[in-house]
Amino acid sequence: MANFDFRTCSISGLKIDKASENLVRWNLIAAFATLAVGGLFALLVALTRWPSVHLLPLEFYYRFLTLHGIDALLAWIIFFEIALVHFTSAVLLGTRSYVPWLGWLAFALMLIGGGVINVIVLLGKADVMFTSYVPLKADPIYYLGVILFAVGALLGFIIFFINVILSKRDGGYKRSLPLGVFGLGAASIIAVLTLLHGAGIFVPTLLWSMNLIPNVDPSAYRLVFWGLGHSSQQINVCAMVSVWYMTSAFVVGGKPVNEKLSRTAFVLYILFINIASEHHLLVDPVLSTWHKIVNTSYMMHLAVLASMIHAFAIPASMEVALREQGYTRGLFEWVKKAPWSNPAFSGIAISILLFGFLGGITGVIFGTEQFNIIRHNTWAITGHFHGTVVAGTTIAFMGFTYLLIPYIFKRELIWKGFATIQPYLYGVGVAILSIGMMSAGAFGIPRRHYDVTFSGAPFSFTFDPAVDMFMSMMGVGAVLAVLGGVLYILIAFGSVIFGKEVQ
Amino acid sequence: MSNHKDDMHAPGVFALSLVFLAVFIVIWFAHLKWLMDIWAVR
Amino acid sequence: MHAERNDGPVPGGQTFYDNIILLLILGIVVPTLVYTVWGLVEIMNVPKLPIVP
Repeated sequence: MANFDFRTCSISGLKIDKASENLVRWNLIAAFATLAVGGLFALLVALTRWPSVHLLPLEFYYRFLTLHGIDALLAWIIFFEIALVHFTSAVLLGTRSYVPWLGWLAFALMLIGGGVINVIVLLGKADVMFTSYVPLKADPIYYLGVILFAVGALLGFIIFFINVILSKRDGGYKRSLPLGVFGLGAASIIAVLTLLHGAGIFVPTLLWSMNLIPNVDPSAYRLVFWGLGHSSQQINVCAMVSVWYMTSAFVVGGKPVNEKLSRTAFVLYILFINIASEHHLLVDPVLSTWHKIVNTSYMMHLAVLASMIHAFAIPASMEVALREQGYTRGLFEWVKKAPWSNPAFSGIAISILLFGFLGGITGVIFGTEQFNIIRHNTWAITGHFHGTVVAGTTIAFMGFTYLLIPYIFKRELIWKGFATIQPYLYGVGVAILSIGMMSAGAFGIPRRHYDVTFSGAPFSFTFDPAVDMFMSMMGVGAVLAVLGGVLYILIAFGSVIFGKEVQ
Repeated sequence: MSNHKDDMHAPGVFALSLVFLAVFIVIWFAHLKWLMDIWAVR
Repeated sequence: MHAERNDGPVPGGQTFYDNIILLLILGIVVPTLVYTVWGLVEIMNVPKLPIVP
């Protein structure tokens, strides 16, 4: 291969090679599209669980809930993360993408796998929720679709290692990777672990669905599935935290206040965050108390320590940078004078606050055996992970999009006024949604449940009337969040297609 | 050694971290009381 | 993007953190042993119920 086509971004100063640029662009476009689909299903499902609306009929609720899980939790986020892999391992380093053909192969597999999954679920042949717990059996094509998507994602993350190692060999960067890239490295490492577990569970399950093996043990399925399922969320945590650092750098010029500490925190994630997957199994009868307590109550806190480090390191980096810009009055002038109307900055700030206080804290609590037993399978769990993945990771990715559109798509944002309010609107919506769910769950409202009035059931049961208020709160939050989401999609696609070209 | 360490000056976040620590300590003792009252831990 | 000081010997910790392949290996081996393998061993050692006719 002869010349590599580089350009220098006039805004960020980044040296961008054409191959990387295209890979980032198309993975982002796929991410926007899958978020739109996942968000549509979110609205339909939320309007069903809002008791006064109760929109969908029974089977469509479970069907669309399955797809909401797949498209919003897996596809949107992983497409965005693969875009981040290309961005950090090539663009941020100013080096070329070494294996663009592999990037396109990965993209194609993810697209085809995602498409297959959506079609087979819409055909009604895989109403198994995104957890697809055995002995629930879907059509074999469903499992094949998941495997295709997972293989594509694995190849995409492997590209990170190829790029970074070959770049080092060719002198592309000296000494160590920048912190934002290091964070995506942590994400990629966790991704390899995640997807190996995915292969480990979906291949036997595929064979079982084709009646080639007699059965898959449900306990073993749950154990290995969550090695895929929860670990994939930890990819999100690492990617989100990297985005926090990078946005602080791009928007306010923030530098890590202590590289050693921040990198140690990422290494703690690499070693210990995945064993917290055990928290899905805390009420399973088979595993011993030792396995449960060592993996959650003990080692999980090493990962929590890491989160605490990042939680202070990133605002500190912003404070240092803003003080250098002259905002030194008192303790908090820098907070007042921070660029709150810049949606990249506000997205990150809202993400940090909501992830920390809503999602993260409840995660640590519910991941403890004594709490888990009173929260397992309630809506409190759903409220928790909407606090982490939606209020945390998704808002952070939305904020970062507002940088990637000028840097990578070379377009100015359209509707800048709406862009300014979008993170706030979405953040408020998801916060209300999450608090509504957790409050209802505290009263025992179950998750993944079509009708908590149990109409038509042989026995009657009524919840405390307070739950109606919380479930309606969830509905209101959902509508606000979807509005914020629609704005994001329109601004993203609109800017990419119609935005003024950046020179 | 340069004045590298002196450049990293974040008193606002430091103050917030102290507030956080204080809240944590309060909640810590509250949770111990909760364990005793609700879970009969002695 | 960060305060880089390209002088002096590289501290041992930095060399460890720079070794992405070593981190990859640790990041796979540690959780797989502590969570997956230990869990599977426990599951496989659950005694089977005798079938009483």
